[in-house]
Amino acid sequence: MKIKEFFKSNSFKCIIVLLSIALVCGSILAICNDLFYVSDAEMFARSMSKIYEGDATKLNDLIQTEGDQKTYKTYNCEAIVLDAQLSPDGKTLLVQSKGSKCGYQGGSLVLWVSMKIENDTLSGINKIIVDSYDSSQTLIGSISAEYLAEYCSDKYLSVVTGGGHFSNVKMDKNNNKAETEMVASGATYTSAAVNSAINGAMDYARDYVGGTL
Amino acid sequence: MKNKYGKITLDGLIFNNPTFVLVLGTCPTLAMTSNASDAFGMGISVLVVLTLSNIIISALRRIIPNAVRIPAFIVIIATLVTLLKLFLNKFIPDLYASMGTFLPLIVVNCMILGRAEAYASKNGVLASAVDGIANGIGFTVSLVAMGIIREFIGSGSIFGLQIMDFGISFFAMPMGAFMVYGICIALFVYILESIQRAMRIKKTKRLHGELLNGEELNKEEA
Repeated sequence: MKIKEFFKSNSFKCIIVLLSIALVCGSILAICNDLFYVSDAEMFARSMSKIYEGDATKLNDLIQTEGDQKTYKTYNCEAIVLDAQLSPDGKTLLVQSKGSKCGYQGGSLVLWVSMKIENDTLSGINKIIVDSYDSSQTLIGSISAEYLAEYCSDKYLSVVTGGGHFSNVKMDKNNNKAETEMVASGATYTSAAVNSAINGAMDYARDYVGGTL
Repeated sequence: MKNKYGKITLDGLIFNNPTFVLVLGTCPTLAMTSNASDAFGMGISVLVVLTLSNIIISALRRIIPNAVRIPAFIVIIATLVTLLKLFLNKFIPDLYASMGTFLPLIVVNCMILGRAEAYASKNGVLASAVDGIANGIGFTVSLVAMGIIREFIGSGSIFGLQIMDFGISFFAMPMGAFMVYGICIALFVYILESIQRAMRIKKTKRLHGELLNGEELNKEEA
């Protein structure tokens, strides 16, 4: 095939049409990506408004650099405390905790955990919300607001105040602290990551009130 | 002309309903119907992508060579889904979070590619838009119906509004989705066939009546 024939052929037309479509689509996406970009500040404001159900008050930043972040391990899971904020009255501690290595396909998710602090002790969990998760957590829909509200109920208050942890499987019956089973139907692995993130947040709060940070 | 669009609409909504008759888009149907709100969100998302993709593909049908039509359709559909994803993340983050991985999976929803291939690439822009809207509404209504059933039986609520304190969690789980889907298909096909049978009988009676009248007239004339 001569070069001149190639430029007149259907193959050339196919290439040009596909390239044109890809170019136009790519340009539109590039523009819209900038237009609809969600900044970290906006993500933080969204999470705060979910916790406080309105505008959040100005909070004291406890973790300012990556060096301030802490890693906690319970029941073969890992939790990294990414961010921590304290309310001006010192009675509410907000912890952004990432439960990792035990989610579905070894994936992870990030939670914001709001906790009550009274008389220098952790006295309960106010609210938990899902901040973000990786794409492998396909059954994240099972982790509903109602399910997360159970962690804040009086039923599990003794676990929170008594230095206990949550697990997705029942642990050694002789160890009372490991007896608390919390699992969402159909999302066992994601529940493990949720438990890990909450355990990490509680441990951070205990360290904070205990002055060991 | 009016009759043509009416037929397209009825086909998309009832006679060729993508969910209950053609059994297309099964993945989001099973995954996103554990509650009615998520089902509605998924339905509307598919409706928007389907309508826009039908319009664009129909407008470009004379330009896109036959040999590369499928890759071209996929690029267009993927772009629309990515735009929808960016839009939802910015303006409706709750819906974006609840749809999870099933939002990008709209790209490979066989209903959207199927309508592009079977209808939009062969018909005009207006007819393709009507087809997209009708199929999208048919899909949305089916998903919402299943979502209402599963949410009501599974957790005793409808659109998050608690109706009763009793719930069978089996129906909120994947195996419950298969069961509800099967029952819905059976019921829909049964009702559809009953209506079609009734219409056929009515039509036959009318033709029979006309025939008898014609014979009587012929006898009188003779």
